[in-house]
Amino acid sequence: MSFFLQNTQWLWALLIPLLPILVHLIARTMPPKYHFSSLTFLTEIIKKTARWQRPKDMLILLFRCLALLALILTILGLTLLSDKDKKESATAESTTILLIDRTASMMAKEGGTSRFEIATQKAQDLLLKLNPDHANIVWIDASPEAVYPLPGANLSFLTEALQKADPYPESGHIQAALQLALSQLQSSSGKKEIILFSDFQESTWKEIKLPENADFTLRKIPVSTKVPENLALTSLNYSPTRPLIGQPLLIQATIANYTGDARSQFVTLDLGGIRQSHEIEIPAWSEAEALFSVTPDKAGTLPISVSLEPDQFSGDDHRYAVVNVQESLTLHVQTPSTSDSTGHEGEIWEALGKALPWLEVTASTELPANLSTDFLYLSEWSDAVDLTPLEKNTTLLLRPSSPLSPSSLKTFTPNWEIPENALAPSQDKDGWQILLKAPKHPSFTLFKNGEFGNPFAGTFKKRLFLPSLPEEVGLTLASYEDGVPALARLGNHYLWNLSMARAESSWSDQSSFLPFIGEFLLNARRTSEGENLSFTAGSQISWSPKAELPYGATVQLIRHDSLLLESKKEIRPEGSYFTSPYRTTPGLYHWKLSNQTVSYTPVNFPSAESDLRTMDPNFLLGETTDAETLTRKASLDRGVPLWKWLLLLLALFLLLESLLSNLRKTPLPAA
Amino acid sequence: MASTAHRFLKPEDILRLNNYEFGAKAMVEGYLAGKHRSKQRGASIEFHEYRPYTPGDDPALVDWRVYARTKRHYLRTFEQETNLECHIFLDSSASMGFKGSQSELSKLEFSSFFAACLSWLVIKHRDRVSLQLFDDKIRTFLPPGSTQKHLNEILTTLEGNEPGGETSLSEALTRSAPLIKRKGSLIVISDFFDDPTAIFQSLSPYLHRGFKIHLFHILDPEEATLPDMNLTRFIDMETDKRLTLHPKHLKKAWKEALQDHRRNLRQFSTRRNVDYAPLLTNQSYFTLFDRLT
Repeated sequence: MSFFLQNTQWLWALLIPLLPILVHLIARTMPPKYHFSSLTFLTEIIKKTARWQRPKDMLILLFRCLALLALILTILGLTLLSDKDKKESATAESTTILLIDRTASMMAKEGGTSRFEIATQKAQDLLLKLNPDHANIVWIDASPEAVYPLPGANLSFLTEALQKADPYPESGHIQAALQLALSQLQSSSGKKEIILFSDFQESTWKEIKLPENADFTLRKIPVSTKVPENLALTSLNYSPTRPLIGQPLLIQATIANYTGDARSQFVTLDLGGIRQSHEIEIPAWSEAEALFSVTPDKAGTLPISVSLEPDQFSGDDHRYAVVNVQESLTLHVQTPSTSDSTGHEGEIWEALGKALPWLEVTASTELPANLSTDFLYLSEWSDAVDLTPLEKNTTLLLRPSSPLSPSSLKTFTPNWEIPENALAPSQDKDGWQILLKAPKHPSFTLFKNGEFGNPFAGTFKKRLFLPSLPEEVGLTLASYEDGVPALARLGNHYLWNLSMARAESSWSDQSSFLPFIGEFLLNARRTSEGENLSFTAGSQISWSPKAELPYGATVQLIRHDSLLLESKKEIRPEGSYFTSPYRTTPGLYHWKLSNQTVSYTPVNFPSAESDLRTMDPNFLLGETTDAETLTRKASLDRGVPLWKWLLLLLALFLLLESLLSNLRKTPLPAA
Repeated sequence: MASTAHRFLKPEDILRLNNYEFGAKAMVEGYLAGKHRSKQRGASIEFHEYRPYTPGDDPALVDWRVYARTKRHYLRTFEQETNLECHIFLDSSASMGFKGSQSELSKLEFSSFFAACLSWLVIKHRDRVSLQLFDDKIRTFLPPGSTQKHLNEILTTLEGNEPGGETSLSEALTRSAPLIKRKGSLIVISDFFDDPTAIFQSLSPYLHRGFKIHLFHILDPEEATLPDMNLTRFIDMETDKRLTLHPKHLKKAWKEALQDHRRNLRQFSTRRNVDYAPLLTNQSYFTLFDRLT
């Protein structure tokens, strides 16, 4: 703490309190003379009263001096400051940025008031009491933004903005918000300050690093005093990602219990009209999963909605997904033009297509230009085959064939160091057996109990010799007896070092062949980019039509509460996209093309916001304080004029002086 | 008696004094004195006047020669037989010169007015009055007299009187004892800034001789309460001693000390059958005459 004087032109007045002392001293040396009849009695009286009279006189003198001093200091404008270095700040301009968290966790209610309401109320109070020269508000949410482009002097508008603001059910981009707040201060001079209002939710703040900068002061005001109880749906998954009609769809919903007690909850599933409900027990501070098994009976894009019983924090009691149910899988076989035993592979695949009602097989000798099948079987994959024009969403089944150089393999497995000349065709007239290497792969689930036999029963006489596949390169599902990979996953594709032609293996004659191929195809296909995509609330959603839109067709975006939103068309290199106009809230959005729903976009509550536990903000850089302390500090920073206190002291000293003067004085008797 | 042009004797005072009868009591004394022939034979006795015989008078006092001439009985009266003596002791020490800021008269002037009036009253009633001016010694002694000339002398002496040195009433009383031959009234006018024990010790001879003693304690109002002043250097008017003090702060203690002193004087006076009367100079001195008549 330090003091400074506002009216230094009156500094000379500090000498005035010395006047009583000077007067006293001068009076003692040159008091007025008074001729009196007799000093006999007076001498006696002085002797008796000297003990208390002198200290009393000194005290009276002291109080007079102090009273004068209090008066002079009032005139001088004595001001109390918090720090002597901040003398200049008492008159310097001040810029304050209110950085306010309005993410989903701020919607939590504590005692009937949400954290956000508490934050905005404190911010309004502070704005009023601090009264900075310039101020601005930066909102922490998924897309941080400021009320003004730059700090402004119109505080009443900021107050209005605080009164009208609402939190969003989205996560916050905290670092971006901090950067925005810092950028707001760059153009300011004088005293700079950022005041951060947040609940300091542990799940979102623990990794945040607050900026350290001597140019401004960062203060944190926590707005949460207790942690409300909450149960939340934190994830929703289903498998397979692209089921076929009639294929069981396993839906898994994860429920988190953010309370101190075990809870029992009813979880309800709605899949395109199919409803199921389970009751599950969730331990305290733990998670549990609700599993639903549904068999879709129609193809198309089906919305999935899972719900909990509503609680106080209801934004995370629902979760959404969309599943594309296919009528069938498509597989294209590219067979060479030469008519050797490998040509039988094409026939075998076609036979498989007929045997599996959900499989459509097409074949050609050339690679089609715009392939969009689920699978492509390349019966002879060599260096001569250019895979570049193939569509990304197609799973490649690559049967390696000589000549195949390591560089071609490196296209899929850059980390696989294969010596030159390591790849060579090999044959064995007796054939090799193939062993399962990844029995836990979903493709082999059916074969686990042995009912369906060995998926690679039979012998294989022709293969390409390959070195063993390191684990970090890919997953070997099956290999020959000598370790040569037979079936391996390389990223999203498969190395199919298996001969299917009857001349080259007896595999296709085995009873396990058909079920294995069926299982493999069902599990090996991958989700395309954009498929099963779920957006998190706060982001913009988009949809891209797979085909050119008919002339005059209109695309509509309907929000989950049936509100029609205006969508914007964008042309990107990859095609045209329709995007939502602004941030989204949790729910299912419908894309309609000429009033027909063509797609759904699920927007989910950010699961990180469901854990309402807060962390101690002291772990973060900056000063943790509260609004009242900040107001007091700001007053001290600006300087607290002490004139009221000084006048009070003046009155007190005068009163004491008067009381002391009249001490031991009794009224004179009547003459 | 004719009014005078003396400073301490005002015509209005004289008019007022006509209502007082200090002399009546004195006349009784004179009769008694006359009645009980004075033993002081050989002392200077002055013829006073002839007065008609009234039944009850001593026939031996009848002047037969006047009877022979006039065929009427007249008594020849003498001073000794007829008048009371009033002895005025006026303190003329330096302290009596004190005059407060609000006072018109100093204590000495006030006392002088009273002494002048008393003298006039006594002489008017054909009694004798003496005047002693003292401080630490007898400065002036005017023996008892009852004539106009004596009164003028008293008044003149009073006018020329100035405050002197230190006070010693006891010393003055002791030294005056041989000078006062006849008993009478002893009027002591002083500020009595002296030890009461010493005062009454010196009064004892007078009391023993049958004097009627009146002590008139004269003070200025500022002496009674101390002035309202801040730090002041007090200078003793008699000793020139100096003392720097805050009179405001000592008022109460001063009052108490003064009251104690007065109480002492009063107690001594009561025990010795002495009349004691305090008076401030802003009060009328005629209240003192009420005590004398």
